[in-house]
Amino acid sequence: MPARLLIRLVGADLAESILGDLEEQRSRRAQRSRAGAALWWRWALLAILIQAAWTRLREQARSIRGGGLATGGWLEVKSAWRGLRRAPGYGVATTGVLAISLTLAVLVFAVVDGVLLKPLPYPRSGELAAIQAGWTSRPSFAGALTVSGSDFVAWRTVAPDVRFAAFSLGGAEQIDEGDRAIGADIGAGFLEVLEQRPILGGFAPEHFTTSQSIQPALITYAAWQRRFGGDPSLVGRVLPGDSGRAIRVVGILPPSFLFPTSLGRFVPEVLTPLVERPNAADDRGRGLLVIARVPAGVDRRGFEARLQAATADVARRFPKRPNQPGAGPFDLVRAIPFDTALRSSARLPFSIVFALAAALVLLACVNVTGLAAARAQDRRRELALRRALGAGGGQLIRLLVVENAILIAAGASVGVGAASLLLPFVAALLPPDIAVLKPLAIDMRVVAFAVAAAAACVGVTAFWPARVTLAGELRPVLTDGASTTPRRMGLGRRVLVSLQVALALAMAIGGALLVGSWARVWQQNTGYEVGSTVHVWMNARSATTWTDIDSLLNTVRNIPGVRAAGGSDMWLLQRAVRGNTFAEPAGVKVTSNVESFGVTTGFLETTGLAPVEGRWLTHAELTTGAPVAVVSQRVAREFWPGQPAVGRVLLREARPYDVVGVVPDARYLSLDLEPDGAIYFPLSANQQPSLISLFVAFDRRPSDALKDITTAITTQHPVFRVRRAQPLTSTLADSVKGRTFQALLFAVFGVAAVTIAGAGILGLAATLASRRTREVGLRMALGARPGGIARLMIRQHLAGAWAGIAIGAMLGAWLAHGVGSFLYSTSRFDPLAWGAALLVVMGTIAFGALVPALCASRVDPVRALRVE
Amino acid sequence: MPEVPALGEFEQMVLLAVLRAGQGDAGAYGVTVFDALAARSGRRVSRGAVYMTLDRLEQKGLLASYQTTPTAERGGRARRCYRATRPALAALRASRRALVRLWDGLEALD
Repeated sequence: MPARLLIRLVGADLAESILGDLEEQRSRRAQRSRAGAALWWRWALLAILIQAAWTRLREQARSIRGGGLATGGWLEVKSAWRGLRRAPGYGVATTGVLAISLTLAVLVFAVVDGVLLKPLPYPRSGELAAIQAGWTSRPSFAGALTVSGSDFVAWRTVAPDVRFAAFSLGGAEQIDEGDRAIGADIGAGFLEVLEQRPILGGFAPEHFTTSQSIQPALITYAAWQRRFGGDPSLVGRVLPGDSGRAIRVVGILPPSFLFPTSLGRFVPEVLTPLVERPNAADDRGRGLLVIARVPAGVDRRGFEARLQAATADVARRFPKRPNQPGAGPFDLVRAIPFDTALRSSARLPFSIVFALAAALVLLACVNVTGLAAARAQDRRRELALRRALGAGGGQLIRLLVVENAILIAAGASVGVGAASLLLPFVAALLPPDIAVLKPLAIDMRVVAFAVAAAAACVGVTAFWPARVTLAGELRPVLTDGASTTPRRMGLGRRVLVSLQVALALAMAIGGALLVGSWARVWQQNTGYEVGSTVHVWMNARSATTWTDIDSLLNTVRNIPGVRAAGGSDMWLLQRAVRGNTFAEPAGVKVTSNVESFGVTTGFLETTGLAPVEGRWLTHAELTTGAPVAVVSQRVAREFWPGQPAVGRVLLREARPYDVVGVVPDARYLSLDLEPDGAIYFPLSANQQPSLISLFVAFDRRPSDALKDITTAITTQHPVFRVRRAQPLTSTLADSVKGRTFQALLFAVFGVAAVTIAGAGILGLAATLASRRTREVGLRMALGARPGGIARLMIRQHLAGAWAGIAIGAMLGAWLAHGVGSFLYSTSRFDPLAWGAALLVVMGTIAFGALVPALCASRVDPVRALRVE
Repeated sequence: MPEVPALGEFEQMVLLAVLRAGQGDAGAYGVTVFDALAARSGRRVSRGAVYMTLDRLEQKGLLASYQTTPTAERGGRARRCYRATRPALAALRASRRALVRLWDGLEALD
């Protein structure tokens, strides 16, 4: 963290006062613009850090010189600095290339460290397990689901040697004037299982047994500091809360506390108690997430078997769950090590991204090596002079290494600074299902990585220039002028060009494949209207009736600009399978997953699902709970192959439902998942109907009305809780946020790689072209034409590029194999993506070679021959 | 008589800014010293350089500091307020006298 770095540099006392000053100014500036104040704060802190680091460095250097040590080293630093000031173009180009690659590498490491490397911040975290339930027929969905309260109670009963805790992610709680914080409900024993204790106050046992009129709440340390300035009198204070139900702060969590499903930016800051229900054994309607601390002596397989048996028993006792089809019955229970549960989905993509970041740094190193070698070549006269004046070979190499080290340090500093500015944007782009186990920040681990990467760069880039410097005898350079300077591209430079082209092409192919795949996802037809519709994700504070839902719908329909409003109990675009409460026709082998959705009036009008056969449910059927159903085309095909679906009968809890229509298939799981089969029936047919997804279609831009909807629901219907209200396009985008993140990341890597390679090739070509001024002049004096000169130089320069393209294609194929599982409807050898990548890379190479060649071909032969 | 410490140009400016900011209600701390410098010096001033110089002057014994009560506006942190010591005043006077002597007779260049 920058604050910790500041403490190291200036001491705790001064650092505290500086941070206080910055905070004071930030809070004043925030009255004008919060975002502007945050940006200002980062810049100011970064400037102070750089100044402090520079001051300390100068003090160190002074003390070293004062002690008579390493005087030569200091002189080399000064000499190298003077040398760099004489070649500002080289310094800027090198620093820029390194800054781009190190910015990306530092950003990626900051995320990878939080996602993959950081140990879980709980004592003896190896004992923690996520208990997940699902079905053996769909093992891939195990873990995507919450479990019912009944399962949780049954598990606690059969495994008394293990400590369990349940929790659920809640809605937003208002804890500050106009500001809402993410909330979560935690069960009794939650903090004990994680072995965390509040630093102030805490929940009392009765908070988990009796529902309080004012909800007790724990606040995270970060929220306490940021929103309340660390005011200790906050404990005991009553805050607005949510939907007219206030909260009372009863404690503050420790700074090290991290919520165990820290979902990217959705980090809960307000924890309220999950009240045990009196008839908990039949608590089927509640969706919970469960963690457990399994002591080292407990046999994991036996433990899982006990939980599975308990769940089977729950399924036997409560075989039908008409109101909560997604709550079970399950037949698969797993106790997954917590570390695996949080990180398994992220391991492959983030490992690949990290490898790409390392490749980008390598590319920058290759690039800088080429530029440094060219510069060393051009400085042979100066170096020969130094040698003639008594400098040893080692001293000359040290001079070049120190020069590179200065540039790399500058590049790394810019990289760390830029990364600290960009990190909040990266955090906002992270998919919500990625668990980040530390606050995303430039902390000491990240700075250590940047230092290590910079040191590696110094090591890699030192070798080649040193070889160039020591190659051959330097004395002839002084006696024979510059004639010994090589003018053609040697083998070493060809290798450098090939390497740059290869790495750039491979990364460009990766980027093009991911971006193409992402574009194809967005070409998919959802099956329902999206444009002017708002999606409201809701839950209820207690059991709801059809009257509650009908009344809420009427309220929403009265909001100005609302064209239609309808709802369903579906978990829209959450990748969550909830199940089907209708019996499948006897003797039919159904291969697709089928979901049943209770729907309300207005559902058809908001979604635009036009029936392709028969009709939709009438207003009377939808409000009276009539036993009628509409099926999707996939269900019609699978249930009654080759026969009409309309007029058939489906059984639901032994009650016959007439199928009255068929509608097109629609994507309710995610934009990038094929549609499941769907059966729609009146939500009012359920005894305890629950409204989870509300659709509101507008005549105007939907984003303007989000506040109106939330306000109308929370003020007039406090039994409902708005978890999230956003345009349906945003819900769709959220469902493929992982793909968006991958595509963006790979695209940025591809662009950066091509830019770096292009800059490197341009630099090399320009250096070589400038060396050949005299030769070009002679050729032109002998009758060569400018076009011929340009063609000659481009041909010679591209000689190194063809090998690079061949190697790059092989690397690209390997990379495409690695990212193959992330591609959607896109072949690993998609000709469009490969063609685009090849075109961009070849265009960049051609441009890099063409510009210096054209400049060289315009040389005036008379002036050129006078040079040297 | 104790030796008067030599002051660099920026150190003089910071000391003068401390004296000026100390006349205000808020006292002389990082923010007010920086504001005084930025307003009167007529050149760009680095915030970090101000803090580093304040720290160095305190180590040299030219400034003394004390802390105020922490406030919520400052994230629960206290202000570190500075005041110039006697040696600082002596050093500032000595610098001024030296400059005046050097300028003597060169007023036409002013």
